[in-house]
Amino acid sequence: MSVNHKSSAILILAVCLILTIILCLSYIPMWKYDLIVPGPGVTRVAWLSDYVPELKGSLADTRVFILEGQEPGANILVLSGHHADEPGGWMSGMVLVEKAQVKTGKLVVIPQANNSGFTHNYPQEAHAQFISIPRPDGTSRRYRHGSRTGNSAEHWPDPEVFIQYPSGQKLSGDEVRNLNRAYPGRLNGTFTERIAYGIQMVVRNEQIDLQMDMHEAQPEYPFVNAVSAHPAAEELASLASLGMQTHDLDLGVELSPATFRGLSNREMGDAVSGLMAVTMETANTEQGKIRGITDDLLAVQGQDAFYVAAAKLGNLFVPYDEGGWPLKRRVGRHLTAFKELALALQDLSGKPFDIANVPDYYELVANDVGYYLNPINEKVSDPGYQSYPGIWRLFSKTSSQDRS
Amino acid sequence: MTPQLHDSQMYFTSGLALGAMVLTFMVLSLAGRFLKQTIPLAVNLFICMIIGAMVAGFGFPIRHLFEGPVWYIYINLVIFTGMIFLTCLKAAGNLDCIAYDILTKFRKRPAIMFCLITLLLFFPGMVTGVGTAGVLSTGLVAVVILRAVGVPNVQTGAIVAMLTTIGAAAPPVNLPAIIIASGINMPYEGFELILLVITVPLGLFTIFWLGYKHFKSPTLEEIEKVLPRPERKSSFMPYLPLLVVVAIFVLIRSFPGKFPDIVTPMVFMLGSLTTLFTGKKYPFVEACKEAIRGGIFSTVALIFVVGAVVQVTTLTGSKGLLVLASLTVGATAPILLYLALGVSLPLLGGVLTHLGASVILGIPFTLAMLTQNVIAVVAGISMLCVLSQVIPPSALGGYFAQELVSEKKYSSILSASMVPLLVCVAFSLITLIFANQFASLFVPF
Repeated sequence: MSVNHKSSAILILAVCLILTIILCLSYIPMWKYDLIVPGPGVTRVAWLSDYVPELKGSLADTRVFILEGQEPGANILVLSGHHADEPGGWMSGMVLVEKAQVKTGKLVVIPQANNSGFTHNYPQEAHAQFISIPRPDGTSRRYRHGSRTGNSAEHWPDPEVFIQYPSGQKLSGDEVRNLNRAYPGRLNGTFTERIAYGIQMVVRNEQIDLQMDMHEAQPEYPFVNAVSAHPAAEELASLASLGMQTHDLDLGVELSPATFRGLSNREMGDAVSGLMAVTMETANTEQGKIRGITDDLLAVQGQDAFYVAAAKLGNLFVPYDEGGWPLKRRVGRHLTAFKELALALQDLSGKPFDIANVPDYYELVANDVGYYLNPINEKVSDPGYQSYPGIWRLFSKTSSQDRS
Repeated sequence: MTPQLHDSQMYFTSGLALGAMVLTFMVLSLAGRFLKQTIPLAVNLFICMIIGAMVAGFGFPIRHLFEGPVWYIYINLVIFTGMIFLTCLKAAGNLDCIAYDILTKFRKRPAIMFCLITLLLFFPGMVTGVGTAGVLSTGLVAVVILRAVGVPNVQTGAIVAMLTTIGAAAPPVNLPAIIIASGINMPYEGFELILLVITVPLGLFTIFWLGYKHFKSPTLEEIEKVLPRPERKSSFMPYLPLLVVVAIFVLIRSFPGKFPDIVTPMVFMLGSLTTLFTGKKYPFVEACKEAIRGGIFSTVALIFVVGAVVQVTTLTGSKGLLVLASLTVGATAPILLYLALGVSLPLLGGVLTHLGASVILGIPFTLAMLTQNVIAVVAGISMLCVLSQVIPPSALGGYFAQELVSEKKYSSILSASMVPLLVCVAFSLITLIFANQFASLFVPF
């Protein structure tokens, strides 16, 4: 049987083209910035490119929310969304932006620190592209649910071995796109190092006293439901851990290892004199390797029968029952720890910091996360599409007017 | 898409998806035999994933079928360019010169010759992390040498299959170790010495076990019968392309940030271009086309489909079910954990390739053994993962070795490889059981 190679080649190319278009269409909505509805506590909305103009017009740019009190006091930075597949971390940042009101001091929140990570999914994780959070009035808020690393369109190909700057430490190649391995960052470095540099500039310009980085980890990972502290923040973390006990919540404390470089707490604590820097972790089922069906519900409900079995086998580092670790518990832990760390900061530094409308663990468990997210209204500024990844950037339009 | 339950109902849904995948695989394989048509493994697995996802209520999983393979684009590019480099080396006559030199210089020194063959077969896997690259490249040189010194065909195939497989675990690039390290948030550092300690003795044992008793020192005339004295510009020139490639790799690794990391595919292409000046003239474009034609294409397709397999089994919970089953076996008794490691990693890798096995089982097994030195544990587990390159049904390295030596059945090569294979499994398990002791000697921190 003779085969017409030209015809079959054309057919295959046509099928590839159609598949490419379908696949592109499924990712393009993820390039659009999420709607965030700032609460009355937000006094200023800036962009990372306001601190480092070179980031403007790229996926590296992200919103910086500033909540200033009437009186000066301690300045706190909350970073979340280093890893876009850790919704317990970045949803905590969102709740602060939408609900918190600072009376004394200043709170700076970057809820989606690595915006690039929100524009795609990590291959082979099968994660959902979006998650919905139901609100009490029957509406819901929809957010992008992305990847641990930035979009490979900005970096491709990754090196086989990533050499961390400036330590020279060797890491797995895809870690070149991991913002939490890129600190302290540099302006002329990789795409991810430039984001880290931007955050360093926020820390310096806003004269931050305490930097909290909110993350999540798999339940079988030893460092979970815990805080990792730079040596300068060790006492602070210990005090916060004691404070958590008053809420009947345990919070493990670990000193950030000097041998593991590029982490936000370790590098920023080393780079900025007087800064106390910590990283917090809660248990996220959808990151675990033992998890069962992976869908958008898993990210929010955090329940998984396989993990219940794994807990009985003794393979986990957190208690795990049929209730699992739903988003409300994870956000509740982060925000309670946030308040305890802020209290500890006041005790140690003598600088006042007074904040209201931050729900604690039990309020979140009772009311769920959607209760603390604002309804979308016509006044909300929609950043829409600011920039596109990789070569698609040639077709993007960015202007300061778009960012009202 | 049907909303999924995550309670105990999930055992049924994930089990059903897994069952549907296995059943589809068997039906397609049998249908292929019945119709006397070869259904490529990649196509078979791809259809299994579609059926599995549909049975689990996810509909036609178009995003997942193509998102999973993205992870392997770069690896496949390395394989393609590696093949181009080695085909050019062959076309320029450089490989013949190297084979001729080894044969004539060391024909009376089998120990040194076997060590050199080990290095030759290790090298492509060491730099690419994929054993198949070795089979399809330096494998040919090794076959010529081994045949000339009297090693039988089956043993020659087994040597090529096993050594290129073990070479994929050797440093600096051990892909399963990199994948597992990344999965548990640890740097890929401190692995070099312990990986050498694991792989080099196993490689040498394999070649000496399979080849030494057959070794017959050939005369120069006998050598020139099977490998006529190749033409060369100078004694040094045939080695230049390899030296260029090695030098660039060393410079990239030794001076990070100072010497540009032009990544492996580009290094291989530079090496390929070098061959234009180091041997006989050949049509470069035709050689490149030849390199990516045929066998390597099905390997690349299979690797891509493995990405889809990992993604869809994750989506449907089938992966979690397998991991939980392995952990349950391990939890029953520590000895069963090691047994599960020794059996499940190579066997599952036979279906999913060594990369898939490291993602699906390597990471949870490592997490289950965190009381031991993690670097030694990851090194041992990565070795067990790479062995799957000779295990059917995928047997990436094995099947190519079979083609290379023109052996009719793969079972004869697998059977010849059995003793070295079992020794490799045993040695890897010893590394895991005594991980702390190995680490105190061979891990810098």
